[in-house]
Amino acid sequence: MKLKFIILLSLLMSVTSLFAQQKIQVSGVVKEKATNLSAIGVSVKVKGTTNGTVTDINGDYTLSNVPSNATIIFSYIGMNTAEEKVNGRSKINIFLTENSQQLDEVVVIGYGTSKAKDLTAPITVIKSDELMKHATTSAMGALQGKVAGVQIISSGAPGAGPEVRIRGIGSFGGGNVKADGTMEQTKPLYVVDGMFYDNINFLNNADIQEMSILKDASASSIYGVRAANGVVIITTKKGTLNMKPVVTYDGYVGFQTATNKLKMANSEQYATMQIEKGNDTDKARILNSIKLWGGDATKMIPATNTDWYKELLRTAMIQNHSLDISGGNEKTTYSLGLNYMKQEGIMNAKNEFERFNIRTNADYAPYNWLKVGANVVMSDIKKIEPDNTAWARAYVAPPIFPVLDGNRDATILPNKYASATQIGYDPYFGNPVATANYYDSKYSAIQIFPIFYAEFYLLPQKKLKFKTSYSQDITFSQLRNYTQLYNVGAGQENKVSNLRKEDAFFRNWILDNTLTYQNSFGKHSMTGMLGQSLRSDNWRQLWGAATGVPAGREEYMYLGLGNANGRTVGDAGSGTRGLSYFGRVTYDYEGKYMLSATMRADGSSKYQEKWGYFPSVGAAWNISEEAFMKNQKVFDYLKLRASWGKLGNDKIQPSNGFASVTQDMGTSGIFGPSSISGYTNLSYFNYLKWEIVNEYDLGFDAKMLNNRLSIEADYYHRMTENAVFSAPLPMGQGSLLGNNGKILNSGVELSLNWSDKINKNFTYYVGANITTLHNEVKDLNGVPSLKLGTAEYPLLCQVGEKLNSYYGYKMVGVYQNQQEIANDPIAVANNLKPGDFKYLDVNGDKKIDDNDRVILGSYIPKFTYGVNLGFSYKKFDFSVVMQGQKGGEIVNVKRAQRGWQPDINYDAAMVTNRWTGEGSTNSYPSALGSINPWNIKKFSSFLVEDGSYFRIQNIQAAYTFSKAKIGGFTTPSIRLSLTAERPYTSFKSNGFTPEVGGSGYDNKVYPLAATYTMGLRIIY
Amino acid sequence: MKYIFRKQTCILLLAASTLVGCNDFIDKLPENTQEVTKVDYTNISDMYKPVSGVYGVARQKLSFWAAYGLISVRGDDTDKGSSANDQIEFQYSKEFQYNKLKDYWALNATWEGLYNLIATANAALTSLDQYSANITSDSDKQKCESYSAEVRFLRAFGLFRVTQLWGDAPLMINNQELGLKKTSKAELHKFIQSEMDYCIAKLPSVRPNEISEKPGAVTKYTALMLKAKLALMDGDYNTVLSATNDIIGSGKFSLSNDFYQLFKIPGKLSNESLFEIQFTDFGSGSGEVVVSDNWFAFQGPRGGSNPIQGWGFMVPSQGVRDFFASRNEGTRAVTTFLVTNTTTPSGDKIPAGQPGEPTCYNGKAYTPANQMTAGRNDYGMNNNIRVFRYADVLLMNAEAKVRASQNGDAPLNLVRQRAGLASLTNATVDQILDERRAELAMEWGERFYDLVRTGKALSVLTGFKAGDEYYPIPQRQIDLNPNLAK
Repeated sequence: MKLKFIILLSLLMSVTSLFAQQKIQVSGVVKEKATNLSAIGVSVKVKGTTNGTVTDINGDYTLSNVPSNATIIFSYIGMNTAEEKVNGRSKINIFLTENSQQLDEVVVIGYGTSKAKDLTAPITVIKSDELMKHATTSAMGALQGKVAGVQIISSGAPGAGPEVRIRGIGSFGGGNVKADGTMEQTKPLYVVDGMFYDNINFLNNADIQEMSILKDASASSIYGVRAANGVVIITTKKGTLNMKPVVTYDGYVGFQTATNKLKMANSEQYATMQIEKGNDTDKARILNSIKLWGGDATKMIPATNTDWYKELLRTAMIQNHSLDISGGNEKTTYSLGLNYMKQEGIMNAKNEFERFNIRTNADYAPYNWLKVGANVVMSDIKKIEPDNTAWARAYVAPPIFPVLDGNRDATILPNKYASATQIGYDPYFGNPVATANYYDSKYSAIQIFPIFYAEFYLLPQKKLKFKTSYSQDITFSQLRNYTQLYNVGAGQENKVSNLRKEDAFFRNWILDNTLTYQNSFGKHSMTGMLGQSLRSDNWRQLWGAATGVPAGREEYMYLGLGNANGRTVGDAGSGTRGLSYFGRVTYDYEGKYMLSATMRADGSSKYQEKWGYFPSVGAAWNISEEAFMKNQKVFDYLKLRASWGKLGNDKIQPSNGFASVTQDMGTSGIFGPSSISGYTNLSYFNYLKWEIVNEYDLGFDAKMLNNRLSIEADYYHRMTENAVFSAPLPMGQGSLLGNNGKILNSGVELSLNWSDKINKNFTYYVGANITTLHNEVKDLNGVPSLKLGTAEYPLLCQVGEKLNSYYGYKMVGVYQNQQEIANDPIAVANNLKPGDFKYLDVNGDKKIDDNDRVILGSYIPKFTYGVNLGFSYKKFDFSVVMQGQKGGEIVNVKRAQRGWQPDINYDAAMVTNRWTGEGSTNSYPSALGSINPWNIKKFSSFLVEDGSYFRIQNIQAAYTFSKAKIGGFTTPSIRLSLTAERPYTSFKSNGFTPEVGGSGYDNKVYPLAATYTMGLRIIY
Repeated sequence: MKYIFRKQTCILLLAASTLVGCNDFIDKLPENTQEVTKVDYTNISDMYKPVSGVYGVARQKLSFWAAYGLISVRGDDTDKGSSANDQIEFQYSKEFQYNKLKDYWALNATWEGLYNLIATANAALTSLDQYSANITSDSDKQKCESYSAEVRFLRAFGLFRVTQLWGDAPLMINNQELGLKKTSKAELHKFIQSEMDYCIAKLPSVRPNEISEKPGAVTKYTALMLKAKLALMDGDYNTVLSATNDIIGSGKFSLSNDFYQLFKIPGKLSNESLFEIQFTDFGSGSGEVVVSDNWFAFQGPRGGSNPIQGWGFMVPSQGVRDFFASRNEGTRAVTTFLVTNTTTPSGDKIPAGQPGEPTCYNGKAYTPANQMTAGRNDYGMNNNIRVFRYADVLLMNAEAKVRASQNGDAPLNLVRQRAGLASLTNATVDQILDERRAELAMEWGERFYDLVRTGKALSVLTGFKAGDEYYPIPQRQIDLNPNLAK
């Protein structure tokens, strides 16, 4: 059968050749026009056939069996495709011109692709090369400052991803700020090869081929209910048809070191403050320190001067190695990748993050009507977690006690750590170094992401395509926490060892089916797509704990080795489902006028109202294609765009929609020595409507001055309707999710890029982008304002103002002398002293009360910006990325802590700037004032600080050795690079970082790290 | 190609057919949560569950450390304690500088905790109504009424604390109405008294430690005691007299012989106890343990080592120590005062504090190390908090009798004898008040409320003015419900 087929085929071919022209061999060299350098890897193909090759290291190619009247196509990514008629020639040399606009490039959009020039929506594409410049553990971290409209807030913790906001805060769903300060609901949707994720921390930068950031509603509304916070589509690396195997090694090693460490008070400064407060207990503790560990008792300066941050910090190593093999033949493409990454934490205790990834991808087209493919990423993650409470303890710990005290008695074990309680401090103060070292927590996870897909071409020329894909995210994770026996002092002691284990299983899957039709009729082209998607997200967890488990070996870490009584178990889980139908139609007339429309119907188990509908339309006018533009020289390209669409959000907590029952020990009464199982059913519930974002976008793209200047500008207007956020209930009834209002985010995004080649050796580019953000509460179901936040840090949600504005008293100065106090009834009524704050009496009633509260700011910035520049000279290249934010305030929650615990250490600014007498300062309290609740516990402008910052995000210098032939051996291309990530940040707030995230409550107590790496890339 | 097309069409049809009937796919409840409406209210054996739930919540909210601080710090028996600047709001409270407390988070948390208890009770009563609708037997009906009475007592107790702290406050009996206006103190008291009448009628006539299946649950006598205490605040001595007479007349209660141990592990749920907030370690040195919201740690001695150490707040004032000394108090002094640099009768050394720190702590919150379950290491773990004691019943009875021109010596002298003091004859109200000052020192602000109700607060308490009986309503609550400002 097979044989017959081959005979038939060869017969057929020979017959054809009888009719065809004579066949010849064609060879030549392909070069880049601008640089006159050989173009390597250019695809050279006879038009209309599969006969093709690629150029070699010298740009040479040879094609045989070329009909003498054929046309040869030369194509390469980033270059304009060239077609050349053979006309009997056997030698064809050609220059390819650079396609800097990449307008013909195919851009991945939701459930399909489009040429960049046909887009009606603003979509930013980031290529692998850009990502590879950065030594970040998460790919999103590499985008900081690069994309207008995308705000990236790095967290600084090892292995943790940054907080990402696309076009402000699209949804406030739940408004819940998590413990780490991030807001769960503002995360964009990540679509990796068709699968939905909440984060992409599992991906290695080198695994990514490209990212498309869908910013407006017309692009992202095809993802309906998941799209309110923007969508990032990620394509992992794939091979190319007819491509020789390319082996790439990419790696870096380097170190991380703390930057912008907040200066804390030293012993002398701390002692000064304590003494100036003028009470006996404070003085006694200073003397105790001097008595125990030395110092000058007359000057009251302890010899012990512990810089707790110095004790806790170290320079930490980071390394990352990737190996990738990609290639393809006529029917198959493949890509295999291995990656190992290890990052140590900057806390000077055992903590690190390790990731080993295996990636395989293969596409196979067995028939002209079928293509199947599979893509599997396996990620093996191990983390030894640091105890971040050590940072918090370092922030508060007085500097007047040492790390270790060898003279302590035998009850202090296993190490002779010193304790603040030795000199009379509250057990509140733990030894931060002991905290860091007595912590033992290990997390491991295996994440597997198998994706299988098949494409069926139902009409010739792939005009009608049916695609089905089944994508999964399967994660097994294990956490074990062990607390050994230790004793540092009162309040920092563990008398019974404790083991807790948590096993979790995540299984999410998506089944997508799409049918795509595309065709052209003369000047008209159109595509149509219909699709359907099923989605299921599941999480289950089982945990157990036991006491008395022996220490010493990992093999002992079993609950069964612990005490038989008192073992506890528990479980938890969640499960949600979605069902969607969607479609898209695009139409294009002569490449001048483009129209697109999408519609998605989403069903979600999270809302009581099961179905939501999300339409969008977009239009673009490619002015530069018009006849009247042909003779002008200014614009090489000019396109106007307009779009409108609706987006939904189901990143809210599943609404129960019913009152639910709580059953645990907290809801069970104790009667004598035992409990009686009980339940409470106190819960408020609400019928949630879909939260809808209504967005329109106006913009233009332009290329000018011989394609050297490119401009992208957009105005966006996002109105979140039926905004879901939780509002506190009176009478201590917690808070309740509700459709509480209407919120506007609008602004302008502008990107300018200039690139030029001075000569064949020197090219350079300069780019800048800026995004403005106007946030305004438009409606709160008819109420003028809502008071949110907490009792300590109230937030005001007021129509016409920014959402969640800080709401408190305005500090207008410091009382300087007794006369001033005596003259002010407010100061008299509150027993104030010189050195205490003066607040603005808004209504002038000579009282400071709740009516005198005003809006003190908001965490939402006025604008964010980024600047990119770089040059290459011969084989040397250099680039810099800078970024920053202007406006936006943050709350110094750290300083406010003194309101709860007066003896905590001071940041040095509180000491050096303190009020010491008339005229000394009008902005800081005296030492005594620093503990007066009037100054520190009233939420006032003193605690609200400027969140603006500027950062040099990345500097890279690199040198490339190109391929060379030495005898019969071709050396690979080698690129050596030096990279500095986040080497410099400038900001005004009195904290470790201006990047606070969440609602702007700055409780971050550890420094950011700068990373310096040396990189090597070998391409063979 | 035709063939291919046909095959493809089949696949398409197959795929399309999977879509049919998918609407059920998204009809899914959230995991790990049960709807109240799906609770099986026909299963009468579960009927105590919502009641036990209210006890669970009450245990947490009534043992909140800062709530206790706000209640007790204002009496002349109690000083703020700790170091001078620590939790300075309690000092403002003690000095009646209430204008500085409107934004105090703990005042708000106290309000929220008590109303959360009240709302939990409201929800439990609704559940009991649902069970009630499915009840067929008379015995179950009685049980249900008795359970309702337990819940209504706990709700009333929450309201009692609210009115002790704020005077006029919202009467919250329907959880769906949250924008409430304030109800006058008098109306609140009237409501609580009528609730107590229901409880007295429906709760069992036993001592709390007599109920074998739920030792320490509230009984008829607990309700009678709350009735008496509220009436005492209102000066309604007839009610005080009749309610306390009922308790005494039952013959069920007696004073514990050992006053020192009464507040320690051996004194849990004694025959003197009418109401305790209960905790337990289940008799095991490891695993689950039910603890207070830092009520014990809040009052533990500073500078010690576990388990005899805490934050050192709410300490006996020099005034009350002098008062005890002038009366030659023996066992009550040893019990009430945990003096630094001494060793307790149980063998625990109370460390000396730093200069400016307390020299004495509240001994009634002290649990000796040698009484704790081995392996448990926190101050007060496994002990209960005493709330209503029979000694108070006797003293209220004595006072009511004297005020009604009867002789109150008998009940008064029972208390004095236990304290090792000589009997009095024809005792006066002032003598009884002094007795209360000694017997109930450091307990739940009793001294402050005695001073207020007898009008002595103005002369005895520094800084006290008319109107200082009550705290301001927290600003946070007014922000959330402007009706409260009216």
